[in-house]
Amino acid sequence: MGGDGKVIGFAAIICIVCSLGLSAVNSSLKPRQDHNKLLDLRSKVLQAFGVPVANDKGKRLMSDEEIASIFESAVTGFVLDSTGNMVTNKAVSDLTVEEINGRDLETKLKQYYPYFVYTNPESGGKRYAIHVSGMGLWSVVKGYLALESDQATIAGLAVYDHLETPGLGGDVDKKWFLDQFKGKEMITDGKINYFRVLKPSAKADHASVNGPSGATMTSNGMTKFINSDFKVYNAHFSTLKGS
Amino acid sequence: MASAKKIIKDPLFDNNPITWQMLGICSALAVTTQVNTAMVMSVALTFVLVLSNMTISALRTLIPTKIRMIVELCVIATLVIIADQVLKAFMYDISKQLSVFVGLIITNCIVMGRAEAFALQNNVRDSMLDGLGNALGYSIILVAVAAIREWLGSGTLLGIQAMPASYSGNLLMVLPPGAFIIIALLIWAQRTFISKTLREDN
Repeated sequence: MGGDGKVIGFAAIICIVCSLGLSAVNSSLKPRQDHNKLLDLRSKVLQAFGVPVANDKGKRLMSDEEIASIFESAVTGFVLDSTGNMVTNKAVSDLTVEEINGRDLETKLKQYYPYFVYTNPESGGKRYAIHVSGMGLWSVVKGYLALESDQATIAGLAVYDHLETPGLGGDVDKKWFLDQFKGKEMITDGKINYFRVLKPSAKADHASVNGPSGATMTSNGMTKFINSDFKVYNAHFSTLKGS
Repeated sequence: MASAKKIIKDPLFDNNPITWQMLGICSALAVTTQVNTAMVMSVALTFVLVLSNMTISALRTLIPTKIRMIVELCVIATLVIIADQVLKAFMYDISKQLSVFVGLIITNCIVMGRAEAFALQNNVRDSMLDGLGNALGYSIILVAVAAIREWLGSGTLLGIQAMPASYSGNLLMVLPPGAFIIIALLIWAQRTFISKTLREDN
């Protein structure tokens, strides 16, 4: 069966050549891609904090260097464990994607909970951005939820990573969806709200927004993880206020 | 053997992959809300189509017929992933807008179709020209549809205001049905007014 041997040999050579080529491309472009990702994350977090990084049409108004310098001068990162206690021996940049997104099967908690504090250089006012993430329909939707200085009112949401269906669940990173979060309340009169991402037709109140149409699973997923993640951060914020 | 000019010119109009062969409609609907993304998509497809046609043509005497489609897919997928990686490294914002559609070039019938129909039978030079011609034919339609949709849908062209500021934008053009309607109109226009040769054939 020399014919089959040739077929297998040819297939093997093609596979090896293709995979070597891809590995080479991937490893040579990785640093640039990581740089882009980090910049994108930072500009979205700053945007959620209310820093004018981009105009209404999404056009960037700041250079890469400006974004990096604002982030480094005005933003401080902190890390919490799953009970809401401060972790002092780890910086946000040390955490892996797994550690801040993967959930324990039993407790449904993540290993680490990072957050950022933004100090407005002019007014000195503070805003907080907590990391929220969890399963949508196909993928883990990852974002930062920015809170006003009262740690109860939402200042904005930045979704920085997801692989939901474009045009349906994928619209969770669209401006019209994210803009709805501004001014909504995670806590009203000292009581934690159950924040909801509703169907597009439902009437949204002070603790809910309308999700994209055709995206029930993505919306339900967001409802779940926003509330469960907020609880951990709130435990921490409460102890800060108490002390 | 067809002349080089004919190989390139045919797929531009008379045998256009989108309006005549009806291939690659999916991405023509999805990435044509802005001229900018349509152009990047066209470049990515051109890159993949030309190189895949050349590679497969060069290997055509070596590829065992039993596994030829698998080999074609392997070559195409590799090229698409390279294109996607390069976009992520150098044009991050646009790669995010194109999201899955760059990856979906793998399943774009034009690429596989040209490999099967042309590259397996012809030499490397002709296959390259055929890939280029078909990619350009695809690009023309893509950019034309995107220009109409962006102009009527958002009142801009390449992000520059091209309508009076009071123009509020036609939502139908931004949504996928708008692309269906425009592509259908283009097909109708081509068959009625442009493709004389084809009418004479019938």
